[in-house]
Amino acid sequence: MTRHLQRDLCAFLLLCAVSLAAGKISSAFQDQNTLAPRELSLSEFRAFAAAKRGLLLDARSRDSYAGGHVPGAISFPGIYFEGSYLALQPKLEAAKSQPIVVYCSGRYCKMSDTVAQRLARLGFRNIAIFPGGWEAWQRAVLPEER
Amino acid sequence: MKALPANRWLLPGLRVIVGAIFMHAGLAKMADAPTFAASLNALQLFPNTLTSVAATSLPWLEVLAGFLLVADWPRRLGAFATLALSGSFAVAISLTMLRGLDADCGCFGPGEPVGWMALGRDLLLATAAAFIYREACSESRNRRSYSTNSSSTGCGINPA
Repeated sequence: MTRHLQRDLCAFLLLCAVSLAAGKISSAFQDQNTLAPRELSLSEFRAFAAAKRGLLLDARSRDSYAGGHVPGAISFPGIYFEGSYLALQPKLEAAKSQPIVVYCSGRYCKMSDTVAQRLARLGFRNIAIFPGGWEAWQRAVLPEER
Repeated sequence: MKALPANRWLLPGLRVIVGAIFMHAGLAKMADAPTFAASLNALQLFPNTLTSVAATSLPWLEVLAGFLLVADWPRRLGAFATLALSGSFAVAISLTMLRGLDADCGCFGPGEPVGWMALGRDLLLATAAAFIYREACSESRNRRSYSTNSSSTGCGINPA
């Protein structure tokens, strides 16, 4: 690597540091919770489900939901986002300022991320996901609703 | 490489176009940081804690890189930064496509899926940035040769 390339790389890293600082400063003016869907641990998710404050969305298919779901969860099949959203629009709009938690099958299911991302795009800011999903809930032998 | 007559306008024009694209992309992300964070999260490239940091700093990096390229000062830094960024974006998009994720690329705000279109555009930007960087390097090499009569090349890129 020539000295010039090293110098350019160092300058670029300095630019990255400046951007990092600028990002930190700008994000200090925003609500940190709104930046990315927060990932809840099982205990946090249990507490949220028990408190029944906000909305709990099950992003799996309707069949999976019918086979068993977290008590209090509402079916919101992520694969039919538009239809799911329209069906629940009044409820969702009413809960816009409340926390919304989305879960799907398990760690390798990306549907909760997709639903969270699309809801964020629609102006919902207080969204979290439970990455462990239904698998983690069942593994912990927690109450189910059918 | 012998300079083409069109280079007189080609290079400044290319610098302004690529720089403006980067600034536009960065500002669009800044305007809707939560959606960009959600897009980054869906790409599954970073752990969740790093996603917020990347979502807030990446738009600034794009805007600064674009601005330096348009301002043409420091000459090589803007080109190097845009080359590094577009190259990294192309790698990230390729990885997402290889993993078969159906995610939003968040390139210019929400609404654009990861796909061949986004990859092609990033590769085009990377090529343009590489060309600008190479020209900036040749220029600094020529300046050095003129002042020191040295035969070494600039930036480790050997022109033909």
